[in-house]
Amino acid sequence: MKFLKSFFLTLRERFSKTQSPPNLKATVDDKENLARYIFSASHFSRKASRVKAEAYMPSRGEVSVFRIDGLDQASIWGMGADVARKRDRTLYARGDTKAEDVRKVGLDIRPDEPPPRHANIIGWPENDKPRQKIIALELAAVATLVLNE
Amino acid sequence: MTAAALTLSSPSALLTEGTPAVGDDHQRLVAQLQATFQSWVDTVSLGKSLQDTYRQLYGVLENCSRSDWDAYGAEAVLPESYENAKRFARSLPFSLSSPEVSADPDGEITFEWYSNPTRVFSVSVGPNNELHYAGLFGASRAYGTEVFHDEIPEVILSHIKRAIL
Repeated sequence: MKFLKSFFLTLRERFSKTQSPPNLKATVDDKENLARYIFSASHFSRKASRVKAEAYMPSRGEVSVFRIDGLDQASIWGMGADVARKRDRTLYARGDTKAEDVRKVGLDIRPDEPPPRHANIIGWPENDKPRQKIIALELAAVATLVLNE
Repeated sequence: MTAAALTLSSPSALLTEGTPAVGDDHQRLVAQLQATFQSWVDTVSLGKSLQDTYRQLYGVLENCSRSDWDAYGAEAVLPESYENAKRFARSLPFSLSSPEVSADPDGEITFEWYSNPTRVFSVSVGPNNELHYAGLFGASRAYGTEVFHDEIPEVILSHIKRAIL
């Protein structure tokens, strides 16, 4: 009984932490941190400790990210684990960037919930793969790789 | 191996250079050249880079041949893209270091030469003959599209060298 109570309390705590807090703005501030979860082993280099540009290439004109400010590491990984579980994939790592880095390369971030804290990097050049690639290289150059260990 | 063969700059040159023969002779010649090419690939000194690239390519095909392989709705890597990527790898000069190979969400296969975050070059190979490329070279950058037939376009080779030298 004590175990069950502890389990549900932990669950409630985890659940409430990953919900979008009331003070999370409708627009994304420049200083906000954004996590791009990585489910492909070829989209990062463990040896060079870097995120590859392919991790930031758009699908259908956007790149999915999560707003992670105010969360501890366990909660950040918890959001990624939820996606991995739903999609039956392995969560290998994540790439962290600041919103201002995204805007510096001419893109923008649009909140897109649910799930809580989800947003999309938008403004990619349409039907122009070379330009998408150069932007993805620039984003990857400033991203920080965080391994799921 | 003959002195003439040693002057060839890339493995694919072995299969495409020279005057083509006809009929059975042609078939025999092609088979001999392919066997010679394979023996080159199998040697440690000449084939290590290509073997490494092939191994990575196969890994990409294995992991990305079904849709949504990245959990974000990526398209599957098609066999045609894989074959073109192999042809691209075979056409790379021996003198270049082996690239890192991965896949894009649109199913194209990417070859990347990386020195540091601002000195990196990337080429994507898809099911057609187009090569989409982009590179950061310090404060400069370059991007564009080239057509790939039997030889890698000079502009791409020059960008690769710029990224790794």
